[in-house]
Amino acid sequence: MGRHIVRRLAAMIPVLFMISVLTFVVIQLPPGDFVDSYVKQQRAAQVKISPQEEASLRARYGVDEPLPTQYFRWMGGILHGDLGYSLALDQPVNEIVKSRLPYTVTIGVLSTLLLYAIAIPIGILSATRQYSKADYFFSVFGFLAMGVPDFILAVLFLWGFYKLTGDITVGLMDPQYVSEPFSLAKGANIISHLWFPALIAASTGTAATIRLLRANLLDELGKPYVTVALAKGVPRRRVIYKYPARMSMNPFIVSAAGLLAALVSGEVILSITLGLPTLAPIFLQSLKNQDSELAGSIVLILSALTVIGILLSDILLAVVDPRIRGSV
Amino acid sequence: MTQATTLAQDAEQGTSTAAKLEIDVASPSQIFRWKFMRHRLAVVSLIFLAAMYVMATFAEFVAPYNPYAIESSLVLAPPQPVHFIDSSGAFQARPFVYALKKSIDVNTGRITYYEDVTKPLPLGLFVQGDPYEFLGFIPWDVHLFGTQSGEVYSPLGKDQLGRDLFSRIVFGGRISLTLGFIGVFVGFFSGLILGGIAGLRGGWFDFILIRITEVLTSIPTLPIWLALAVALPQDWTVLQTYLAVTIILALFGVVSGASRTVRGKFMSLKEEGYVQAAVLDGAGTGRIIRRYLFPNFFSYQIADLTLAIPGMILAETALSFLGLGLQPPAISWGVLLQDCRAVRVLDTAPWLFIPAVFVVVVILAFNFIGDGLRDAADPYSRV
Amino acid sequence: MMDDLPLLEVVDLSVTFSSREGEVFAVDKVSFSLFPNEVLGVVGESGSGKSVTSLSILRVLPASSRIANGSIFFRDEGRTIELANVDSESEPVRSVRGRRISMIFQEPMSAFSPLHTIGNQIGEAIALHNLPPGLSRSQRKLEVRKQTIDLLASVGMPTPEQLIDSYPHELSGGMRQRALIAMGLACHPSILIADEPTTALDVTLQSQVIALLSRLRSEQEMSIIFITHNLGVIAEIADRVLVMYLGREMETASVDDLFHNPKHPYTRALIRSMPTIAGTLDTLIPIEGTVPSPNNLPTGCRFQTRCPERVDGLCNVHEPVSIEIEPGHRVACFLSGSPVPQGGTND
Repeated sequence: MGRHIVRRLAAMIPVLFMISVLTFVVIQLPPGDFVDSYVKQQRAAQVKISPQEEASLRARYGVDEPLPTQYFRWMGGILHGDLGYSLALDQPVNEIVKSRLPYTVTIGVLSTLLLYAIAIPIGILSATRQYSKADYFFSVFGFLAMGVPDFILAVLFLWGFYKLTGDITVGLMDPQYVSEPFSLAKGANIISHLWFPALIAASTGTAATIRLLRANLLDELGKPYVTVALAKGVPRRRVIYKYPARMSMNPFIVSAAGLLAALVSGEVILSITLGLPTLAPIFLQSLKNQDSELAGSIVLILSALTVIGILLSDILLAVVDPRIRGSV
Repeated sequence: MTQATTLAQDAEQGTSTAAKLEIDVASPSQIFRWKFMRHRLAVVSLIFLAAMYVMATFAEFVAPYNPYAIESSLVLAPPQPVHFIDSSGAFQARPFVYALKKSIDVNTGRITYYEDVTKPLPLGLFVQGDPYEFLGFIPWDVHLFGTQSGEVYSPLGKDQLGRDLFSRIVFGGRISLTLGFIGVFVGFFSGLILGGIAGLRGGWFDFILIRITEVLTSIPTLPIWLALAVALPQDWTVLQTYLAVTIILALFGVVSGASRTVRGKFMSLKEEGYVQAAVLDGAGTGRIIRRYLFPNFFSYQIADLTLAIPGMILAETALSFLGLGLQPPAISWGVLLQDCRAVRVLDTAPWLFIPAVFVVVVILAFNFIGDGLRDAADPYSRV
Repeated sequence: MMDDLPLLEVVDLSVTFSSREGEVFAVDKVSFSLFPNEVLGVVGESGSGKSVTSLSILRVLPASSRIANGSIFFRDEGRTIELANVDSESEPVRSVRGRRISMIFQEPMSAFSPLHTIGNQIGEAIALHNLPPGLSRSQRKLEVRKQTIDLLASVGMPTPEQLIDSYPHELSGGMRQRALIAMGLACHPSILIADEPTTALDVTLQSQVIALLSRLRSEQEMSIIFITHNLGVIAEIADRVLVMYLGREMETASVDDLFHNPKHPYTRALIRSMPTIAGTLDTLIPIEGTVPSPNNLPTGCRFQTRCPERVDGLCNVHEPVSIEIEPGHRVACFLSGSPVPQGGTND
């Protein structure tokens, strides 16, 4: 078991390395560099920048160096815990991440919890009462949730929010908490603001999970071991929770990888639409500015979060399934 | 002992079913069609989507106006409802709308539109309007519907520049509806080739492909899409951007998914008894692929691909909505929805949200069809 | 022992499955009795309704099926319990299921949940039904474990103390089948229903399992309903035999009568199709045709489409009812004297 985890951890490293190269290259793909877009912006603001100044900016930011050099400089920093420097915001990336990552993680964790809390009971209910009114209701609901994109829900939510409050941005917390140090009350307040956006980010995943769980469970309910357990005299409800419900969790845990990636994507769109101060809006900005170290770091962080999530689901799978435990 | 009985029975069964076959034989494709037709929602969805594609194909004819035509006097005019009963309460066989009148609040500068009940405008089919080129080369000026007098009728209202929203949705369908198809098509064939080679040959190619697809499925796609979309040169034409966006979306979704499935299927089918038997019979690789491997997973694959199309449509819409990927002057449903990002605008002109309804209904329709196809492809489900 | 009152009496049992074409009878008016300490063999090809019959006794039929008609009486500890016409989760059923009547299944692999140890799954029945009252939580745990180990030892598991904590996938096929039998025996039931317990096993294991069941039966004084499609196994273990075809009872007889004096053409055909060690393939005569679909039953006698002794105008018009031709020997065939109804077809 311990060896299994170590091996999985080791396998993460090349994946993250590939992701970092990929993102860095992709970010540098557009013609020009940060100084070009900076100069363009300044020019739009009627500030003249001479070619000499441009050249000295380039040298100072190191953007005229060859791509591999820039990459290794950035990577070298990351290995020492330094994510680089945001040229556009004139701030170390670490600072930016430190102030925004907690919100990204909060929304992510909140969405995941909501997803499980909603999908598991409904999935079990739909399968054990197949073709009942509740099953039909949740099937229709699930189809709708899968068909309505996150960002459309987000727009609707924002619109409703505006109608009710007249505000055009959804704050993270009530104003009196903003300058306060972290406390339980502040956390509760943030959650009370974020649970609905988190629900939106989780909507598609929830619908997909309900369908998956229902199908798995229906499969399992027909298996002989269910009849066997019933024949032993175990009450039906207990049979369902002890055997098929647990069995149907397996493919469900396996699919968690895709789910996490979807949640992150959902969170990005949601935060941008609602203007939440997570990593997402600043990421979009950094892409447009070619602020490569910031953008690259954010992709890397989001990917790392997903990869860690996958690792956790792997370990969880080994914990719940003795067949897998035996083979590792 | 029973085994012998069964074998003998099987031989017997062979002859008796052969005799029966003449009476009730249905080809697999017939059965497939029957099973699909039973899925009522899927059939309705199919008809609906067919209508949408016809609409997009003949956009110039279906749309009452040129999607770029600006009617500056009617900025953010609301949809005009169709009436059958006139101001005197009499029923009119020919539907009509009222012309719009506007009043401007001198204090706030806010424009309010209202119906001018003294000016009914009868509607008609095949009315004359803006000239265009039918199918791109036949000059024509007849439109599917409009007011007989030629006065403005906007069924779904006008946008912030006074352009006809319905016409823009019809034209937007051209990009939004085809992008998914082309992307899935391109993605699937690349995936088929990659996955096929990996599955049949194995070795280092297989190893690398699997590692790459693993990476691609474990990273959140949206940030990568965003990054790639930003990388698209600003001076590309609409067509170039459109193709680039399609390929980007296909690359990170369909290709990796399809190549994995194809590889897995090939790997397992290779071991099946009947494929081994064909190999022993001396059948060549090409023949085995055509005759045994393809038919075996094609129907599943079609269902899967149908379910991948809405994903692509959704991705394009989301990207365009965020202001990346396709940009005006290109018209896609995502581009149209950019107007909704400003919540105050949305609040004054809620009809700007109508393209979202099209997106959702089309996605649902594709999902229903995919479900129907999947059920029909399942050999264990009953006719 | 046959003179005792029967332990279990199944009367006119019918079970239907709902399908797109409507209700289909999987079991149609089947009656039989099981006496104390008796092994009743139930034989038939697949689709004959033998498994469905046994699932109905325990009321664990799949959701798409239901008992349409008939009664099941179980005599236990001086009282008679009716099992067919009450809710499947009602008290009488619950008091019997798994405790007084238990079942062992065909596929040892799929009959165990892969996620739980066999000890857990066997002990479950003990914990539910077979613990002395007034034990603390930890005492209960210990007692369950002790009983489970004893059970595993009694079915011939070599190292029960270790095997109790293993998962199904870690056991060999034979060991799994033994574990499955142990699970059926957990509460010393008075009736054990064994649904093809040897079908998935190879021949050596088959005879081991049969020997084990025979031994347990005499040790524990229980009755067994032994379901199989294998007449050879029946000859080895059964006292009486019920032959079923397409949900109907064809013939019931003692095992001697059945093999030496078979009355029903179907029973005779089954015996003829049985290979013997001395015989060659030439002497093996298969039954002609295939079992018709239950959706599309033949008119008249269900076996008439394949019956070599069919009387046209009779067998394909009327359905014969079962009659007792001599004590303990029942046959449903016009050739053996089933009454011919006057005018119109029955059923």
